[in-house]
Amino acid sequence: MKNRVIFALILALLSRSWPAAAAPAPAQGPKTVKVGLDQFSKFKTVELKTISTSFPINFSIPDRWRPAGVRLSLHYVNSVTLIHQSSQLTVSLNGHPIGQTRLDPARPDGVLLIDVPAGRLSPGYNTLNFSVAQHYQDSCEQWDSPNLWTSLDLEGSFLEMTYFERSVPANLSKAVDFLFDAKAFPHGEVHVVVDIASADSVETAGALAAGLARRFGYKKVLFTASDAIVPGRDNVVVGPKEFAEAAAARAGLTLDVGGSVLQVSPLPVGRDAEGRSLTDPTRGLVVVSGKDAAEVRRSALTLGTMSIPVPGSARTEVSGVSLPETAPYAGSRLLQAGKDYSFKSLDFRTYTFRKVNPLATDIVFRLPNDYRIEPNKYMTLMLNFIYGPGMQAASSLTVSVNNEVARTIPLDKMAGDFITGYRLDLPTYLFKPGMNTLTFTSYLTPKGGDCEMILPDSYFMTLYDNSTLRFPGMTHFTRLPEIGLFMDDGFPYTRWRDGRECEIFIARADHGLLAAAFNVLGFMTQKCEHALFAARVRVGVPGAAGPAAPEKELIVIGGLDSLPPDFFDGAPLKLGKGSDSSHPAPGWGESPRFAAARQSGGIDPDDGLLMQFQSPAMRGRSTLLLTAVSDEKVVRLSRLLLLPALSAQMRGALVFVDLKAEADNKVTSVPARDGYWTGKLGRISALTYFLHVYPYTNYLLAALLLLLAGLLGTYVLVRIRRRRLAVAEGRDAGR
Amino acid sequence: MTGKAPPAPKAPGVVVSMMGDWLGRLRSALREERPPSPPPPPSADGGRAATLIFTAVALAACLAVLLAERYAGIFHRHSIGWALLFAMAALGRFASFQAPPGRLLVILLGALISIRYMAWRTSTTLVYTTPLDAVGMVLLYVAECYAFAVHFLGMFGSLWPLDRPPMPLKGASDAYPSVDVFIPTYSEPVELVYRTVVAASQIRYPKDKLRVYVLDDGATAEKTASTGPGDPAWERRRALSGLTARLGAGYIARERNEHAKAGNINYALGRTSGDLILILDCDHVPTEDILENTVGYFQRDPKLGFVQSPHFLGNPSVIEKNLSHFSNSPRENDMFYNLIHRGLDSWNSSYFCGSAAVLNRKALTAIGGLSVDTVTEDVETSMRIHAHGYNSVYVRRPMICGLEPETWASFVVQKVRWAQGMAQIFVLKNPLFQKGVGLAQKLNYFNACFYWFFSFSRLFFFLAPILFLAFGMRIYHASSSQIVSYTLPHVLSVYVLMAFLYGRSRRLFLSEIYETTQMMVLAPALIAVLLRPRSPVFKITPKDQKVEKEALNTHGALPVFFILLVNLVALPLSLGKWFSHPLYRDVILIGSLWCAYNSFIAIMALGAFFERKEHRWGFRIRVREDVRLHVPALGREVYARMRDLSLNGATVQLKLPPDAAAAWAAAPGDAVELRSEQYGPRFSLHAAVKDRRARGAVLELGLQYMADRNSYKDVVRFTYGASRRWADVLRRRASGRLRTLFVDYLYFLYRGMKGVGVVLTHAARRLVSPPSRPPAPSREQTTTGAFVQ
Repeated sequence: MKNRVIFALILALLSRSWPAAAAPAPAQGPKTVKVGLDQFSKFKTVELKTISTSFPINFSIPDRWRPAGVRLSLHYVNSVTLIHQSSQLTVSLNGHPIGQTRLDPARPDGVLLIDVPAGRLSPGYNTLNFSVAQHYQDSCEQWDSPNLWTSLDLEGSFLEMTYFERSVPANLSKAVDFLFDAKAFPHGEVHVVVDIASADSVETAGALAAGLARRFGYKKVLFTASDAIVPGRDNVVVGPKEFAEAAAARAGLTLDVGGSVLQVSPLPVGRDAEGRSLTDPTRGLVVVSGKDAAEVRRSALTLGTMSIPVPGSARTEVSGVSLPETAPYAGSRLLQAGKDYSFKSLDFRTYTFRKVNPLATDIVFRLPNDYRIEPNKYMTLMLNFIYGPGMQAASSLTVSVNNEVARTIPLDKMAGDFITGYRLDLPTYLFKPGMNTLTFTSYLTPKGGDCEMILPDSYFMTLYDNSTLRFPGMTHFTRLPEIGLFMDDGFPYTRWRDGRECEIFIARADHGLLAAAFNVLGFMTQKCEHALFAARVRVGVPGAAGPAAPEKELIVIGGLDSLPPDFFDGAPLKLGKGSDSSHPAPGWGESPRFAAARQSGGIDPDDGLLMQFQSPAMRGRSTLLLTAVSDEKVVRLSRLLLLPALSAQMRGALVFVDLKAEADNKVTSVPARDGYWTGKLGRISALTYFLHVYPYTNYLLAALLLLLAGLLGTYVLVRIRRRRLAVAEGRDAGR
Repeated sequence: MTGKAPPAPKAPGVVVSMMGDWLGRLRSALREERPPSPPPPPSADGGRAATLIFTAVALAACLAVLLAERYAGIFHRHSIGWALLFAMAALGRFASFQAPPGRLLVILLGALISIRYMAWRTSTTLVYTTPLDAVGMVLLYVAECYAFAVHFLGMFGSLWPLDRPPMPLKGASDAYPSVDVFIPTYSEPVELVYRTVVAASQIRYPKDKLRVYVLDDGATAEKTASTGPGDPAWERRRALSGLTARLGAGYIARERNEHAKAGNINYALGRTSGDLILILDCDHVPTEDILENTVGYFQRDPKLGFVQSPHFLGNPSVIEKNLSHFSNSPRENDMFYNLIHRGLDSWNSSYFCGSAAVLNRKALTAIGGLSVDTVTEDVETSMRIHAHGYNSVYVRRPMICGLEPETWASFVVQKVRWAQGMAQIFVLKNPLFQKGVGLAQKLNYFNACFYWFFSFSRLFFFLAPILFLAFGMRIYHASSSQIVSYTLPHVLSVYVLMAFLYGRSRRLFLSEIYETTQMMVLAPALIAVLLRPRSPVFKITPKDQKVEKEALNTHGALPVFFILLVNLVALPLSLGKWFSHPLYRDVILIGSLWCAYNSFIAIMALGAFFERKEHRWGFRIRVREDVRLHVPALGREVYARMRDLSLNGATVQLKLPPDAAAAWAAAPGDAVELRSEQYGPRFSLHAAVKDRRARGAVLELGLQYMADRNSYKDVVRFTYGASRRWADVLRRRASGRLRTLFVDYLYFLYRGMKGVGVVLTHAARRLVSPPSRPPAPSREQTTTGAFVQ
């Protein structure tokens, strides 16, 4: 009893800043997680070639982990022609060697086990570097001989991390980074406590979900929702004073909401037998509340945007918040036409290619998904770079666009060179709307014979981040439906990066469906790299039976049983009326042809369905439907969207997703049979419309005009001819 | 406007009926170009309104295609270009489409294809990349704009060529206008002038109304002052004044050689008084009926400034000769005189071509005589005559027979003078800004001048693909798909339209060869004019030069060979680029094809530089007419077919009956009498068999006239006197069937490669045995020379 009192006192001292005294739950032991190295890289295997080369892998440690140790199990295979004594594989962590092994040609298949002391690990991101020095003969060896290789099997290699969970900081700004951590592993989870009956709360919760998803960066985040705090997860209570205080009270926390408030605390998990509040210090509760809807929204936006260590307390009251101005097609790494972008502004840092077989580097950027790529235009690169002396003329810098070689710059001066403003024009047809990758690969070939000493480090080429790129002006006009564009960056819902054109409807007032809506919002936010604060989440099915369909881009989420038959009128699959469906018919022509069928039976109970079609409310606007036979399946479907391997396969107008098990998920995409156009071509005149819609009528008109011109011209010529002859023959000589 | 009240709105039925009436009138107008009764005077305002409506409708048609295409997919774009092309090509094959309205429809289709191309070219392909690229891109674009303008002006000029017949004289002969025949000469052989004077003195016209003058600039006082008897100028004066006196012609030699030919004629104008002036180059032998066929126009139109007739040239041009392309095909100038000039005449824009024209003294007096500001005084003069409100007439009937320059050097002198003179007019007296000249006349004169700048555009078209393939310059920004959609239909449409308009008067690729051979010679001459427009001086075309020995014209061939070489070098470079620049493969392919095409054109042109020997002085003109031979050995006449004739003799084919064949061997030296009356008067000329060839039962005899001074006049009259003979020759040349582009291309490629083969063989021989110095061009003595003295 005495010990318990002392322990409680110590805890009380430690947590004196908590808004209310609470007793922590019993401390937990260490946890272990084992992750394949392929999870940190886009490669399954890596081949290290030439006499000396290396390959880095970055991995992160969430803030809430206190590492106790890391064990690396590295599976490799080396060439059997290597010399055992002089060939070795070295592993470094953050620049410090932590293990090495000789590459033994007698035992080419090996596993290197390294126990990494916890002290070597840095908070946040760490870099593991695998480097080889390999030789196949003692002298006069060819630096790039095909004998020189070692293959790293990343899929068969693991990092086994042991850690303790830290307590949630008693500081709101730190706690937000702690709870909604872009380094979360393997993914983030947030439970939203919201009153689904309140339209304002639902809408604000949507903005909050978008803000939280943005905080997670590119890390997948799964949302759940209910009207009560649940244990074992980080909870966010969002709602007005009454709802927030009641929800907190039910979990054993006394809360006093006096205005627009943001507050963080350890997660209350109930009360003990003596009525004292019990908490889980490793999980947090964030309260987003206010006296009215406007105050709640103010708090939610603040939580979504705060990024500096202010406030230093666990609670803050927000008296005002304003967001920066935004514009259509504005966003991180989203290029606009006619504007110069430095590489630095696209997250590229000055990069040096070293030695003979350096790794490629790339710039990833985004073009608006409705960018109408026109021929005969060029993207302009202005490169600043330097390269060292002593290389053969065959050395080069190659620029590839989306993995296709576009241009090569020879690095052919023996004395090396420093070049500024090297201009390259890349045809725009190499690019595509959405995500694009510009890859720079340098091939540095040393000068000298087989037996000459080569200093690999003297071969380098540095590309500076003040190099620029510029895209020519093009129009925004594209054909939909195309779910692929949605999967790429949430188009067309993210045309305005704050989501003001996006409205999400959940078919029924169900917390599961609401969580699905948050998942979709989070997905779009992370894809377009901008929190969709202005997107609205509403309850009901837009149309005749529900609320009026707004003239916006719509997303409807709900089970089939909650969708009225009329809703499918414009859909590619008319599930409400005997399942009218169009089946692509391969072999009937180059462009997709369809066989129409009316079938009974609906869809497979284990299938989720995505459909995109023109909004009934406005031409050129879209409706995206996420549905399945039940709401639970819809929630599962929303979670599967977050898997890149699956979302990359989703395209066309109709997507079937097998929901049975993650390993067996199968995606079937069906192209669009009928389409519609969306974009900003400006005002369309009646003439333009006529020409666009009835080109053949216009050709006929042109032919008739041509015929008429021929007849009229003949009439004119005949008159002129008569006059000429009359004058010459003296019949009209007086004129 | 005519001042009439605007018509009341009509019911649709009435409108249809009006349309029917209108179409009926149009049909009747087309059926009978010249109605039997004078039509009501057309309203100028009405004609202008119709022209405006026509222009508006034609532009609307273009706009309709261009606008619709903006929204069309790639398939539609391909389809539009090629559908227009095929429609044009298909319609153009019908003979009935040679006349309006079909003709106009085909031309409009061609125009539409080209406008479509230029609209796309201007709006889409002008992309700035680098300063150097931009320079190349702009130069190519300017060259294309030039070609586009010339193409359109050519189409305009050839809308509906006018075919005028000879106009008979009217009234009593004492009311005929008096005519002075001017034969200006400078350094030509006396016997050449003699022949022309003999023919001119035999022109059918009242003798009291006709006076022939030799205007001798080769023996002016300035030339004879510092020399004495025995000097060539003195000898020339003695010979020419003697022969003119003997033939009853006048001889005029002025004090000084000022302003060349124009000055010579102006001097004579002040010393003569004929109402009309017939101007003949001294090698242009007139037919007997030249005045009977032309003076009638002056009797009917007092505001007629001049009547021009074609220059019928008996020998092939130097390029045709070198390419062995002269059998029965149209000659170089046939296109100009058979079609283009008729087109110009339809717009009252026919111009004076320096010879074979009858000019109204009043018109010449009104403009102060022939113009002397440029070296193409003829075109300049006719423009001024038009500017003074005088009309012009072009009569298609050939009424003189002349000679083409026979060596490359004389050919070049002639072309350079024309090009420089036209460039002088372009710079000094640009037709577009001449007062008094009508719009259509301005356009036609402008085209006549502007055309001569072809050397620059052609040169750039030759070099453009190399700039890309060899130097990587991006001067034409288009994908292969766009090229298929726009460029190819346009390029092919130009050829198809050329074939449609001019195909019966000139082999298509002959123009390519002519322009290619001349471009490197003309370019510096034109630049000189642009820099110093008044610098060129009149250089007479040498008339007496002969090719004595077959040889490669190195001076002319080298630039073309260089162009061929760089194009051939670019081809393997394009192969390398194919692998090194995979993204540009479509453009590389097109550039390579362009290079290959250029190479073939250069090969064709190279064949024209191997100068072939002229075997006879009087070039034989191919004819086909029935004659009779009186054979003294048989004591009777036999029928024969005359195959060719010249001033020296003729070739006849005959089939002797068995008894005649037994009695007469037709051995060389046998005397015969050639009797002919197919083209008017009956001729009976004494001749001797020069050679004989038996081809089966057909005997071919080469006859040489046995002419003395008196009978020489008959020989000249027989040989050159009948204009209908020349008309028949031209008709036979033009009646060759139309060939397809491809066949024509192969034909000239074969000719060119054959020429190149000869060139290479010649070069190889020269390597083995270096040649001795080639003899200077000289004149051959002819039998006619004996009669001059």
